[in-house]
Order: sequence, then structure tokens, then C-alpha cells
Amino acid sequence: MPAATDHLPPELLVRLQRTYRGHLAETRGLIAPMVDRAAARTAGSADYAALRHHAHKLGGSGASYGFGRLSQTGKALDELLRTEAGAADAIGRAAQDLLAAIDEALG
Amino acid sequence: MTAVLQHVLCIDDDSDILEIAQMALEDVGQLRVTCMNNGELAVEQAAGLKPDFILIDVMMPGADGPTVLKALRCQPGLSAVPVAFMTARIQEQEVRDYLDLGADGVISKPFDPMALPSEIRTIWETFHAGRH
Repeated sequence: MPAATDHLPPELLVRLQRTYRGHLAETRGLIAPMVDRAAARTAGSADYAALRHHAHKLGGSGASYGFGRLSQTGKALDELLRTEAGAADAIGRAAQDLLAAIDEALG
Repeated sequence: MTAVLQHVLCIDDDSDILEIAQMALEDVGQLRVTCMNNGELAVEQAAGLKPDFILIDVMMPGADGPTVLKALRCQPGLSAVPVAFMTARIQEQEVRDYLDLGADGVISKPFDPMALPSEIRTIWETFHAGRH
């Protein structure tokens, strides 16, 4: 998913991304243990519910701030968890992809 | 009297969405924006704010978007204000469902901040064209 910020004035984008990255770092701290459990197939329903909440939010906001991969991976995980169509290993991989996209955005 | 789009009320529990929507609508769209992060509170206060347009997130804790829309439509001062949902889920059937609920448009998330004002103006103009 391309970033939706191609025409945003660069100085404005930098300011917006600074605040967004602050929130992103908090989110990373919250979900990292859940991602580990999902990857190890030891996650419970509370983990999946929380992961879906954060994945949905990041999927809806990432590309607006210039982080297209964040939206892509967030939406992918949200969809796997929403439809309950994903096997545990697929969910674990998708959760790790989202965490990697967060790390990429945080630089 | 010619209606003019000046004031947009944005309702979303995600502060990141509110921040970028406000920036886009104020800085790019030259509109006045009021942000609210709580659906119930928005229902209580919206009429007093006299918005020309209302943007509502679909998935919010507590009162979700459809619940907020229904409550707003019951208020005399807001029944004629165009409303658009913001959502990350924009499958054709889902969009139809949102329009059937009474929304006047659907904005896809993530949105392009530079395009958001024109998306809203298009929905607003279509709404008012249909009333004449």
C-alpha cells in the first residue's frame, strides 16, 4: 500500500510523523509480548483481541502518515483475526510482519 | 440562502486520525474543525457546535459510528447535516450498508491528507445538490 502523503509539505510531514512515532513506540511496547506469544502459538483470546485492536488502528492510520507498510501489515493482521480464517502460524507471521513494519517506521 | 461548508466535526477514538484529519481540513482545506474522541459525548454536544459536516469513525468503543449517526439524525438541528463514515473496511457491500444506514458518504482509511478536503467537499456538494 503506497503512502498517502506524497504531496504533503515535507516540513509538515516531519512534524506529524514525530508525534505519530511517539504513539507508535508506545504501541510497540504494548504489543511486542503479544506478538512473541502469537509467533510461539501460545497467545490467548485476550492477546488476539488486543492485537486486532492495534492492527486495525495502525492499518487505518499508517499510510496517512507516510508509512504504507504499516497500513498494509496492519490490515492484513486485522483481516486474519477478524475472519478467524487464519491458522495460528499465519497469524503469528502476520503479527511479526506488523512489528517489523513498526520498527521500520520508528527507524 | 446558499449553504457554505465551513465547520467540520470529526469523531474518532484514535487521536492520530483526529490529528491528521484536523491538519488536512484546516491547513489544506481552510475549514474550521472540532475534534471529539468519544461518540456519546459527540451526540450530547454536536447540535450546539452547529457543524456543516460530520465525519464519524465506524469502529469506536462504546457508541460506534452507526449508533452515533442514528442518534444525531434524531436531533432537529442535525437532521440536515451531511455525515460521512471513516472506515478501513470498504468492501462494496460494506459501503452499501453504511449508505443504507443513512450516511451520505464513506471515506476510506488510511486517507490521503491532501485529498481529504476535496473528498468531503464532493460529498457535501452532492448532499446539497440533492436537496434542491
